[in-house]
Amino acid sequence: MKLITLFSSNWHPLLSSVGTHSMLVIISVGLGIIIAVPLGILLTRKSGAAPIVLAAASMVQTIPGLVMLGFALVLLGIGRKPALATLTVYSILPILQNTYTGISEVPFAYTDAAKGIGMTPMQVLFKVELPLAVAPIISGIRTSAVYIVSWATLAGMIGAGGLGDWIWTGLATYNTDYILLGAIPSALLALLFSASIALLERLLKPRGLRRMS
Amino acid sequence: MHQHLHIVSGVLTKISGMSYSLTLIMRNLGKKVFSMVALSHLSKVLQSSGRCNLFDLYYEELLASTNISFLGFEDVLRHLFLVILILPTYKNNEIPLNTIEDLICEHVIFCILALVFSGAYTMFGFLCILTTNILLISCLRYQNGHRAARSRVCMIEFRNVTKRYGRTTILDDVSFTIERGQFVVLIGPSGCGKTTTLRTINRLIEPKAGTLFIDGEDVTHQNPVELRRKIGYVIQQIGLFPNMTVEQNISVVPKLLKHSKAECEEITRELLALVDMPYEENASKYPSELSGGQQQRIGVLRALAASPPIVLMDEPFGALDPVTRESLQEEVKRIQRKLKKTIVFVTHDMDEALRLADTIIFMDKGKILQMATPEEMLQHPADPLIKSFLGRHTDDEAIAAPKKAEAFMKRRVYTVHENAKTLESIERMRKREVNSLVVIDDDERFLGTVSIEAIKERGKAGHPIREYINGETLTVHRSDDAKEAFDKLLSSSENYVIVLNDDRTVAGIITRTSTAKAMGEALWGEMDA
Repeated sequence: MKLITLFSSNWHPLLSSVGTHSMLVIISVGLGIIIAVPLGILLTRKSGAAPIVLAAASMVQTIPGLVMLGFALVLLGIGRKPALATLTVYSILPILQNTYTGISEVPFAYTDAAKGIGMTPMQVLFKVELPLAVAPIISGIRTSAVYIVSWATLAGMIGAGGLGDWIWTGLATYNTDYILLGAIPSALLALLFSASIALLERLLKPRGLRRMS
Repeated sequence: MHQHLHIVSGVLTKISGMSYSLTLIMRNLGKKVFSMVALSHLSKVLQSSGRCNLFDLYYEELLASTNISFLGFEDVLRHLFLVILILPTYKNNEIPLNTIEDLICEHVIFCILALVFSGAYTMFGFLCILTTNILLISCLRYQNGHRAARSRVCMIEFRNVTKRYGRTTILDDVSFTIERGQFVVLIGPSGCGKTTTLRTINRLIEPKAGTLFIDGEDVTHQNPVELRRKIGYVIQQIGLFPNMTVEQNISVVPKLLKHSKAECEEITRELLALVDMPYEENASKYPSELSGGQQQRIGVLRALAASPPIVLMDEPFGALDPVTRESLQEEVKRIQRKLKKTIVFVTHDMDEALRLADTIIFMDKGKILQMATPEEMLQHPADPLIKSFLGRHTDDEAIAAPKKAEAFMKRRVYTVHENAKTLESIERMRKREVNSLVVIDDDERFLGTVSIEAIKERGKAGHPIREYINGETLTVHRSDDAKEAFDKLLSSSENYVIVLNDDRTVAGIITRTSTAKAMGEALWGEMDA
């Protein structure tokens, strides 16, 4: 009951927090895509580098979020910038991994045929490999977005705003209602991102592939 | 005569451009202007001919030497040296002969004009250059004629091609030529280098050493992407792009070559008609909606779309079931005959090789064991390995020269048009005392047969006969081995095989009776017809 009254008196600032939170997620995942997709493609061209880079990326992923945020705080100061930097770093791995495996698992027959009939390496990439790897790449983005929604609550700690603010306030004052007021919308937000990206995946997946699975 | 005309026309143009010689007179000032004008002109000619590296160098040197009003012994030596240098380049680099003749004629005119106006040319040097030029021209002439004659018949030539991966040698100094319009089958045990040979042709594999000529041109240094667009490529795994429709798949290469949309559609229509897959039904389907046989048909069509003179096929029918495989083999052979393509085909199936090939190349351990026509290989296998590959086929050595199907067929065949009605057809069968008729279309092409049983069972009066066609009827091409026709007939429950011409019109029919007669002949010699 108390939760509902708290919500009804606070829905306006809560909504703006949801907005900030979404922005954090969209920007960091967007940056993640810009970095990870080309990097993943590059890795498929240089077969030797792939295991090293992927291992390095996984290692970054194992650093606890708080530690990373702490570092960002020290290096970049308080506010949105360090938060975005940290979240971007975390968003990279799933996208990178899925881009790499997605493209390297395109059956040899297709790339061989594409090369054999006279496509340039770029044409092979854009006409054959990317369309066929679109599904795994987008599911990587989806994983990454869902992660980042929850990571972003941590970023509230260093003054990035968003739903994390509510949770940290709740934690600081032993008020579970405040925590829930941050946690529930954040969970819903994760579901929303997941669902809308799934929809995007269905739209972008080439028609010829849809029937196959 | 031709050459004189060149000189005359050259003189005329040069007179109008008298600045060349004037600058020669005004030596010190003129030197630079002269060489610049001449070089810019030269580079234009070279650009229009499309290439040159050493040749460029040669001519620059030559002009530099003409530029000096005194032509000494040293210049002559340099000239000679460059001529020697340019000849092998020419061989590989395809400088059109006309361009060279033009350039040399111009050079001669330069010399004459320089002689006339400056008077300072050493007669000796001039004559030397003239004679070497004439020598050069005649050399090139000879070579060009030789090459043109070769490339008329020779489509693909391997010259001492070697390929190694680390220490293992895949291709060991392989040399052979494939003639234009031939169906060549590469066969051998796995790991023998047949696929490597094939993939060397469109440069998916780069040889370690040796040269590859296609249509008389050395392609080892050509842009591989452009080369591949001129060579069709079909692979065993089919490799139709699953994200594209049938039409998009077929028009991939025409699109790469920047054909318009309308052209692409026309090409697709024509090609689909070639394999009896109606455009309206199939063009917008995705590969996943087609059967394996249909997919590979589209795979073959994709290779043919830009009408390349050469098509490479890497075990294209290996993954198909025997019935589909056979019908596709027939189709490919028919298409090859019709479009006169040079096809290089890799297989490990001797039946397939014997059925399709004009020439079989048998490889083992990166070397060619034998290159021969199917008949020759059957009669004189060059190696025990080949003999074991031929297997059951060599048992028939008694039949020395395999006879063609047409030798055994009866020419009188009773046909009926596809639109004829059921009763009409029954009447015709009764009159001719036969129990089935061959159904043809407007162009007299074979569609199938219709039997009295089929009409009796399912036929309705007044319905067109095409509804009861039996499409499974056995067919052979008239130039196929008669043995093949007999095999087909005897291993089936059918009573006859229809013999077809190139255009799929009916040539005749081979019945069980003709088979028996042929066997009798084999046993007891010629019998009365």
